[in-house]
Order: sequence, then structure tokens, then C-alpha cells
Amino acid sequence: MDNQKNYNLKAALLVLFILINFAAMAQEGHRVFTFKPGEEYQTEILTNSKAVVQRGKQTLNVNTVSTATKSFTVTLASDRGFTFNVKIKKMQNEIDAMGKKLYHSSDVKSDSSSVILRALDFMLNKPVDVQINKYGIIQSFTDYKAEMATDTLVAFAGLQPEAFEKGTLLSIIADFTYNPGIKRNFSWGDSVEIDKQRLVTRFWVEDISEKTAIIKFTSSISTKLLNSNQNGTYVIDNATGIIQEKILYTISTGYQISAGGVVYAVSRSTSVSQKTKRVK
Amino acid sequence: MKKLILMLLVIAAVMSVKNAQAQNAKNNASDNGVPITSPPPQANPAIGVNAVNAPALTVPTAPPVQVLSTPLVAPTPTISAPGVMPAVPAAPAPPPAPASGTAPPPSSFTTTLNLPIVPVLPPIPPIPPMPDVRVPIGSN
Repeated sequence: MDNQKNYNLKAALLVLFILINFAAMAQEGHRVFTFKPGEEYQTEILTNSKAVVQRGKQTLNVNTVSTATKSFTVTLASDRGFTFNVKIKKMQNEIDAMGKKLYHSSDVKSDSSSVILRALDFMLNKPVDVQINKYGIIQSFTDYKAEMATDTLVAFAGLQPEAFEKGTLLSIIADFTYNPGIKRNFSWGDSVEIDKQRLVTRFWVEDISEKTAIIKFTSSISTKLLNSNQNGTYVIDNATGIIQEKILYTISTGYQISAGGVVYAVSRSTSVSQKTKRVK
Repeated sequence: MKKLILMLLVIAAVMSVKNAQAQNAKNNASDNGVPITSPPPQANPAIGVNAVNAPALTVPTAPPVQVLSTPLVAPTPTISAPGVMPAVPAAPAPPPAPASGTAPPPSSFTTTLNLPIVPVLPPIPPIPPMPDVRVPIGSN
């Protein structure tokens, strides 16, 4: 009887060992990131957008130019992963709706009578703690205390929403490691869901050296109300895995529904230029 | 003991097959190797809303990308800055128009700000890991 117990125990331990071994192998090939507490990365984003909202013969044009400076500060580091504190430090917005212009700058105290300006101010310095594992994949994040800063305002001001999605990479890094076997024009596809939107993307290597990789992509995003095509370029620092630069063009067409259930036809063209560098 | 070895070999074989499927984009075991759908672009989509005489929605021209400062990637023997710029995409065909009176998605409007609802910018696709082991498009 004791022999049988020992036999079962040994068998169970062997199986457990094999499973652990397979789990470890599954992570092979991923880039392992190294960050230290106190390191700070700064991202400057320039967004230029033209939107049209239409119902019947009524048309509303909303053109925006916005710049935002975001900081990604490493607050915790361990063998298992890192915690980043992410916030918008500075922002400037120019919104032109039907010829009426609205300016907002985080450097200037806003007119307190304007709800839009107050809401834009509210978005500043609202930190989100994002935990990633050593492969850069988001494990958890604190809730963004949005309140006034809603999707509607973010869209109206032409800002690129920062979508933290558990299981996806932090936006400033790429799980890409230089490999001499990856040549120019190498292409591959991917399908991922972020913020309840399915992105089907084709990537290809535009140019690559030991120091830098330039990866381009073309992506189609479909939702119930809106379809988008997006082309872009990533410039990756192969030494750190940081995406130094992103350039994007996006065109969206579809519909939006107001609170009262009124359906509007909408379209939007946007260009985004984003640069990230280490500042501390 | 022979039975134990046989059992372990079978488990190892099953795990290896699953792993191989994941790397080769077969079945549902992988998120890569997904064929790209390319909806035919429409230059002037006729998507007037619930009005027969509604004019077609005009897709505005994509504005030029404004570069913040000097291009980060300076011309080098291997990387040239002009290659960085992406092409402007074609306008996608819109989805089917929702019926009038359809309830709005809960996150698409706010009760505190009465603003025209323009499209939220879609998320940016992250680069999936390990492109070197992925099956290149067209080869499978």
C-alpha cells in the first residue's frame, strides 16, 4: 500500500515538473524588459483631426489640433514586473467647430465658465498605475477617475485615448527583438481586441538595422457603428524595445447615436505623430 | 514503471503538438496568421441617414502629419527618414446604419457635457511578439 502511495506521489511530481517546464517554455522568445524605479519616459503626441457630423442636410465640422505630453514613470520594479505611473502632464488644444474656435492650454488658467475647458483641465495629472509583467504585458491598472473627462470629450478634443487593456503590451514598448533573420519586407498578421474593438492588422518590416527597426502596419477596425482604416509606422529602438516614434493616419466612417437616440452619420480623418524618449 | 514512462511520453507528445500549433498559427491555438480582410474602399460612400434626400457623408481629407521637431531617425546607411511616413489609408465602407431610436452604447455619451458626438480615435495596434517565428503572410 505504501509502495502504491509512493508510486502515485512520484508520478504526480513528475507530471507537475513537466507542466512547469512547458509553461516556462511557452514564454521563450519574448523580450524581457528591464526598467529601474525612478526612470521616466516622456511621450509627446501631436494630433491633427478633421471630423464631420451629419444628419439630413445639416453638417457640423469639427477640426482639432492637440498636443499632449504624457509621462510614464517607473515606480516599482521586481523580478516579476514593473509598475508605471502614467499621467498627462501638459496639454494644448485648439478646437474649431463651425468656425468657432476654442483654445485650451494647461499652462494658462482656464475660463471657469467653460465646461469644456474645465473638463480638459480635469484630465491633467490624473495618474493611472499600470502593472506590467517582465514581458511588458499589462496585468492590472487602477481606474482612471474620468468623471468629467468622458469619451465624448476625448473624441471632441481630438485626443488619442490611452487604452489600457489587460493582456496587451504597454503602449510605449514593443515585444520585438533584433534578429538578423528578419529582413526588409518580412510581413505577418495579427488580430487583437482592444477596448471592445477588433483590430485586424498586417505588419511588415520597412527597414531594419541592429540599432533601429522601422515597422509599418495597415489595420482595419470594425465596430457595430464605426469602421476605420489605419496606416502607421513604428520606429523601435532595438536596444531597449522602446517605440521611439509612431506616425499614424486614420480614417473612420459610420454612425453615432445621441443620448436621445438620434442617429448621425460621422466621418473623421486623423494624423498622429508621437515621440517617446527617456527623460530620467 | 513502464506504464508511468508511457503516460509521461503521451503527455509530453500532446503538449508538444499544442505548442507546435500555437507557433504555426493553426486551428484556434494562435492569435497570429489571421488573414487580413480588406474591405473595398469607397471614395464617396452614400450613407445618408433616415432621409431619402440626405446628402452623402463626405469623408474629409486626411490632414498632413505634423512632425514635432527634427525627424528622430536621421538618414543613415541603412535607414532613411522618408521611409518612415505611412501612406494615407482608403476610407472604409461604413457599417449598416442603425435603426432610428436605437439606444446609444452606454460609454458613447455623457450627461455632464453636451457635445457633438464625433468618432473616438480607434486604438493603435500593438506589435505582436516574436515575428521571426510567425508564418509570413502568403506562405501558408
